[in-house]
Amino acid sequence: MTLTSIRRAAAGPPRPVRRTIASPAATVLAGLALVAVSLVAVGIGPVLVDPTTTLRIVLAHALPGDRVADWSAVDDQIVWTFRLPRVLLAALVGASLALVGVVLQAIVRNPLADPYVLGASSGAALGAVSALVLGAAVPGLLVTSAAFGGAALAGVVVYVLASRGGRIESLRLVLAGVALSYLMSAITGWITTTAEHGKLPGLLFFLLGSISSAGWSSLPLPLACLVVGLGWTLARHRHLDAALTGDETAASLGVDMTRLRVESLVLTALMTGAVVAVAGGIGFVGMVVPHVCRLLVGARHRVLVPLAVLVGALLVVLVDTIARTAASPREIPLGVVTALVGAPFFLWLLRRRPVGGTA
Amino acid sequence: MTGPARLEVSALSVDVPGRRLVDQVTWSARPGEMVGLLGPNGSGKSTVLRAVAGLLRPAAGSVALDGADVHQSTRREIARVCALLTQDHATDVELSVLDVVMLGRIPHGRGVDDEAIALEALRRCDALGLAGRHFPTLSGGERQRVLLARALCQAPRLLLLDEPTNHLDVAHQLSLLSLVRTVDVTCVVALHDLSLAAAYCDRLVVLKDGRVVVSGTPHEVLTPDVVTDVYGVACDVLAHPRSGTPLVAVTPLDGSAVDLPEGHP
Repeated sequence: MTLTSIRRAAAGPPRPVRRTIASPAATVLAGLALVAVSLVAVGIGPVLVDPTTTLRIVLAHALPGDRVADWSAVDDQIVWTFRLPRVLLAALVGASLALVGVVLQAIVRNPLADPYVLGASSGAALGAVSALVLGAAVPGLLVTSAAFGGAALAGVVVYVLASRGGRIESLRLVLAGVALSYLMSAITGWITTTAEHGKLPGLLFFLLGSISSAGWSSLPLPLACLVVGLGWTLARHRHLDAALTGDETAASLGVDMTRLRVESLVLTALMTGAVVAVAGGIGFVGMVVPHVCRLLVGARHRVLVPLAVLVGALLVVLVDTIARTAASPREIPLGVVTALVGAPFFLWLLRRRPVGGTA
Repeated sequence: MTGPARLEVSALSVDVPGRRLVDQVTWSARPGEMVGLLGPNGSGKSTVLRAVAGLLRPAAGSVALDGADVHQSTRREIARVCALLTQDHATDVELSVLDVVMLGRIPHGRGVDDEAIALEALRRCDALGLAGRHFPTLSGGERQRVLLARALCQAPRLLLLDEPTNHLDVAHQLSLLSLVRTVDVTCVVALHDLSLAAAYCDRLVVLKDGRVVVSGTPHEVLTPDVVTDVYGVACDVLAHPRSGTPLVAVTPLDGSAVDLPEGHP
């Protein structure tokens, strides 16, 4: 039998329904939507700037060469100095959280896994809040490093708690993460209630999540972590696929599951630490986005990861735009909006999908 | 190296904390042979298979593939030689059948003909029509065929099957084992059905309480004495009317099941 005839036979009549859309189309569509929504989002605010002008301002700054500016200096400053970094940070935060969710859900084989479940978020929040109470300023290097350290430390502690005899099991990993999260949230809460009044706004920022203080200097850290995380994930996409089949099968396919878990814990702690350091605690993105994308294109990581990263970015850009405009001039904390949007959506998804059934 | 592997299990012992599951078992499989592992539930069949696949560290003894110690090798090195079909494979893997089969190429690194190898494996397992199906939607029989295709896609020289005929009807049991016999590979298969083991295996190894009771050809091993000793049931061994392989008919030791319901001829 020739290869062509095998392919033809495989594509033959019994090809059944698989309700997923073509994956390249979904990814391209998500990418275009992200660019379009970002441009519009940059223009929206107390001062409206139309998307064409926005695009020209951005290009004028980003590309070398002189251009005749037919827009006002105020528009220029609003777009380039204030709104663009914020929108870009929103995209980075969303992309990172979605990627962390995808990786964690694969390695613990649990659809509930997200940055919160494995303790990284609460560790980062505890680190940041401790630094604030001890006198650090927001935004500052000290708070950033403390959030980072907290996430990394939580990752290490969860790993130590979950491993026995050199092996990590996924259920123990989830349980250790959840228990540690409660513990650290309790300590964070205690610190918050005993903090001076003047420090409360800064503390709430980390507990509820916000990117209102975004500037160009906020971008390099989460960007670097996202690039490293994305590179690792794409290099290991087949191992993550194998992890879905269970520890024993994955091991029999030549995947060192303990090594995979350690690597992914390190990278997810890194990405979560970077996100919390610049944006505080933002829930639901890491849990919901991987689910939605899996419904769209299936669980193959080579396809799932790029789509989830784009959809995560798109979602947080949208949500942040709502957060800063819906109750203008006041801002709703970003984490509050993601939870308000995410929780009902997740519950709807849960009801729509038969338990143990297929997408 | 290609071609079927030689497997030597020497004085292998496997412990879990506080208990010895497998105690000093020694047996071997010659290249191309199909060896059946028999024994009651809990006798250590699955544990032996997992230790051979390198998934469990032995407390003592060794497992050698063509003379190389399995437990000195990396996961990937083992997976290039040895494929294992376990009983408890996740059924909710949200991948297409073709993607599931392609996982078998992981130990060999990326290759341009991975998809062709996977499709050929599916064809051999009479599952080519399933290639585009969503894995969780498969029936039990379809799933076993697809998982066997993945094992073949791994291009193993040693194939380990842990009760592959579980949940399969008689026709699928026969077709699965017949298919395995056509593959140029050394095969170790844990089975519950003694007559089926006798029909398909070159040699049988019988385990009880983690020890080897007896090993040899089906005719040597499947005697009423051995079956009664190992399983605690009364037993008659007949010859298969067509093939002449042993057919094992069992009854409870006290003979109660032969009391047929009233009115039965």
